[in-house]
Amino acid sequence: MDFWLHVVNMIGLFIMLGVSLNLLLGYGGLVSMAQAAFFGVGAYAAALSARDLGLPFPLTLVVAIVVTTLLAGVVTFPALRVRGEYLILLTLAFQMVIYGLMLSWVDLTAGRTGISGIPRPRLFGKTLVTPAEFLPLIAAGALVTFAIAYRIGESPLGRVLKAMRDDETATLAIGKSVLRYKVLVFCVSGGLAGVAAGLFAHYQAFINPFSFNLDRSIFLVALVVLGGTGNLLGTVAGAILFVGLPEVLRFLQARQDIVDAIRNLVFGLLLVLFMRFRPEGLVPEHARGRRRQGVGQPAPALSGPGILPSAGPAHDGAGPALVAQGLRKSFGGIKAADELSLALPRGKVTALVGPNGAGKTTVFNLLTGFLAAEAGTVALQGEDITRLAPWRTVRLGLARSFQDVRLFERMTVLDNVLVALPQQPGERLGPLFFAPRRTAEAERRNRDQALGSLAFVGLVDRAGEIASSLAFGEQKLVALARLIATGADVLLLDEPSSGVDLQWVRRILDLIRQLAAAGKTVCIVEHNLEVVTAVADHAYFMEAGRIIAEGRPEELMADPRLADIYFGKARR
Amino acid sequence: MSLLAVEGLATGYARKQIVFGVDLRVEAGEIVALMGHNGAGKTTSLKAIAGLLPLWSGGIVFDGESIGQASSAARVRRGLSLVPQERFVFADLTVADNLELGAFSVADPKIAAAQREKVLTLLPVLAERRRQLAGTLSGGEQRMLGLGMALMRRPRLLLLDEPSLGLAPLLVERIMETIRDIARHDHLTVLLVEQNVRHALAIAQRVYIMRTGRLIVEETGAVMAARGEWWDLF
Amino acid sequence: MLALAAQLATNGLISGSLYALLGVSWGLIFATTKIFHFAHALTLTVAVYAAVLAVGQWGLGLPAGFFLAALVGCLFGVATERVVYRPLRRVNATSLNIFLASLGLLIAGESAVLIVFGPQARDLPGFPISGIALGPVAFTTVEGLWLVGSWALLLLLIAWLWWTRYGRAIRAVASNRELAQCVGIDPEHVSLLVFGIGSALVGLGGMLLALRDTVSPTIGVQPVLTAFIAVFLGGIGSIPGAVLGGLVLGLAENMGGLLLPGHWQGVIAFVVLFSVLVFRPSGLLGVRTR
Repeated sequence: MDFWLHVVNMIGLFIMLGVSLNLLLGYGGLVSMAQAAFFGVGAYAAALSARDLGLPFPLTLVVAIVVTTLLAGVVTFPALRVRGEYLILLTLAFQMVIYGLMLSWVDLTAGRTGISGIPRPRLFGKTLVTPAEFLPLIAAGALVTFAIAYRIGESPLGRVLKAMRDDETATLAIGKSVLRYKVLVFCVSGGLAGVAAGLFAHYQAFINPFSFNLDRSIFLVALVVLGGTGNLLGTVAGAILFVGLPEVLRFLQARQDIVDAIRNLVFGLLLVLFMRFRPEGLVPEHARGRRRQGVGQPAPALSGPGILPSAGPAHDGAGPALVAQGLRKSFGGIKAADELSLALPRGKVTALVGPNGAGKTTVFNLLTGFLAAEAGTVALQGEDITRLAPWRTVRLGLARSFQDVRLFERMTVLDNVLVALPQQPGERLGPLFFAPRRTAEAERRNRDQALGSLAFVGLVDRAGEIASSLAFGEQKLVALARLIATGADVLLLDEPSSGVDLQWVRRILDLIRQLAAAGKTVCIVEHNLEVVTAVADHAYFMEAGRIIAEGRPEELMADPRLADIYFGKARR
Repeated sequence: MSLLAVEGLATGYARKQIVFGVDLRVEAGEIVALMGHNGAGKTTSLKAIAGLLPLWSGGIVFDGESIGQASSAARVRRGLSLVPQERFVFADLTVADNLELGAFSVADPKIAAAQREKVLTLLPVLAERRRQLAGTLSGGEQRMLGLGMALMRRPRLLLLDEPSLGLAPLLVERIMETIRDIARHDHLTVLLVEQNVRHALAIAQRVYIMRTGRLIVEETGAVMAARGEWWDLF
Repeated sequence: MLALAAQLATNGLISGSLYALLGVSWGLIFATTKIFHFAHALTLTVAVYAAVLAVGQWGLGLPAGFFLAALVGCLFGVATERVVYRPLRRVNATSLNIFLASLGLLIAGESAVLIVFGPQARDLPGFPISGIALGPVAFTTVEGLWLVGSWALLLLLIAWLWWTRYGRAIRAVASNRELAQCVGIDPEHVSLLVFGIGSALVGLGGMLLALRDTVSPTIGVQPVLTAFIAVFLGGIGSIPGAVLGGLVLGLAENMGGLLLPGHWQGVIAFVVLFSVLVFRPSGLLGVRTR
């Protein structure tokens, strides 16, 4: 009986570890091969503080949590600039270094021998020794970590994490600081692993490096992925299956290492088969029964430009909304922007036209801060935004769309728009845990707002669908709704009409006109001159990083000098 | 029978359809220009003809044979050669290596050697820079190299995607002249995507114009050139 | 002190040469196919076990063992590409999923080897082991073979890649896959080719290792991890880079002991990897990433 209770305890510990990793990997999209290293550091912290500092149980747990949280926070910084395989390798290297130090820093960790004699915890006057006695404590730990992770994962904060996972650049473009969220999710993940670490150390009363090696990290990653990333229930299922079930094999009359090998063989094969046939895991992210984000009741009839949100500081109605002066940027000798100045008149649609390679998208990148200008200034509603990070300029009221749309593919249409709304209390840990009612109310209001944006582009009925399943034209409309949801008053649209058939082009142009009529300032980069004449009030003609003409589109097209540039000089 | 006959071409990337049904033909010995605004589907159409993108629907017949399902390597062997718009040379390899690769599909090394002589004579700057890494060449020289690579395999139909992109006006003239001369002397047929409309019209016998994934105009080069400006077509 | 430094440098060059070979065997595959082939470690294991079986149990000579390792490695690597990676590409699997599948293959494969052959360590007999002294430095005959064998294979490979038609085709696909298609190269054929060559090389590298170390089911992991580090250090996409990376790594590991406190020595390689990824992800000779 003790044996099975032990198995349950191990499942509980792995639920904690799995959940901590799922937040990081499944929600945040940050693949870490170092979770066992964090687990180990926390365990050693608890063990050493108990043995050397004589701290009693609950305090050692706190030490474990604090140490792992801090370590995770520190690791975030080198991890910030690396993605994909580089991040996997970086965390792998970190894992190996920590493991190597555990083995060889004998003065601190006693190396291979490990640390034994970790004191048993005393709770409510009872000393916990047997698995049965530990069970309530571990169960409580599992419940608490699950609840914390669940609260975070299924909240507006979780929504931003998922957006970051799907597309970091687009997340910046809707006004969220990717850096902050990465630090946050690393720290939370570390802290939750620390809970498991502290409990583990006291439960086993003995730790050595071999519980915290690369194999363990790989096992955790596989557990989370097979269980189902982005779904914490999947992690529970994974823990039960992959930790619990192999224990059944012990009843096979075989040698321990053969049993382990059989378990690993099955595990590895499952991993390969799942990646081929069911990459979303046992319990997928959008499993049936998770219709929370679906559209239960249709939003009240919303029409007209009055419902368009407007965030950012209030401003008077005079003067151009956005002014750029003398912007300069070169890429290895090529002048992408050369003393470029422009002004976007408020409430009007301005177009940037010019031949290929004239630098039009570069201008957008410079205006929004995605590229740093070497010289020049950009002023939004009179305020200098030249040195601001892109996510900050969005908060102040300037936002851009992307030529390749960049929706958050694995999220629903509604979530794509919801995540763009500014100032959501549920995106911060404090209000999320300590002001739940305010958070819930804000979420309700935001949901209506998001539905309003979707209604504006005519896609309310698609709100519950996953973004990647939409046709490209519909995706462009969702991207527009997402842009509107940011509340920005100045909207930069990069090739809004490209890649779609005529009917979509007309719809998009109509929406652009409505936006301008509602007082938004719109600037478009366009190659389709028919579109430009149809929708733009004002146009800038660019060539080789400079603006060489401006005026109404018809005026520009009547200028033979510009025709020479656009179509090539006449041959003599 | 046309050397190239494309009917109802529809294609795109992943879920994004770019071309919605294009019919065009190129007769042997012609230079045909394919023009239109950025994003109209010109490059996508060329890539589909070359086999780099799958046909979503429609057919491509080259010299009497349907090649719509053939691999790009098979199309190259039949004599169809694409010089892409960007990344049209192997930047980390030498000019000499690039030219050798241009002749990869040529089975007989003697023929490849003879072509190399012709190409180096035609484009002497490549001979000078044989040992240089292609990525260190100037823009114009890289364009020449891209063209030379395609010529190495004696194509019957040359698909050129914006050969003058990013070049100074003088170089643009030179490239266009080179193309016209090669076409004339080697009985080469050319389908050319060009943004420099006037230069394209100077060498093309016929012109197609695309907008938003469809063809809107087919006309002779002379008639197009006589217009003088084309704002309403782009 | 100087004698010690010379000896450590020699050790570093010797192991560095083997790392260079291992690095190139993996880096060739990664540069050309962009697949993070973690299961390369399994190829090494399988190839070495085949040779151990042939030499130890069937009495074949050591040279035949080497040949068999190369052959088995090559076939196994090609099979991995066809049976595991290509189907995943067909369903547009993400690179993380492909990585995890590779990991799963490695775990399953190593376990299978353990079940079939047992966990006991084995030896690769038949190579005369003795010491060689060259002035102030000494090394064993095995290490001498590492040096000579690795460089022979590396030079052969580099000559082949630079001066033959198919070698050029491989470099073309690694440089610009789409343009390679435009000149009539079939990238899928090239993928099979590099998997074959890279896997044969790692089999031979594993054999060199097995002459000195004992053979167990997990023999493949550490060397291939070292291969990753050599490639990332030298710059992915660059064969000379992988060679340089291997050499630098070998030297750093062996000479690091002179500078670093004891408990950091075992992890020098990974500290190097960590630093490269953070400060210079393109590596020493890195090709600019597209």
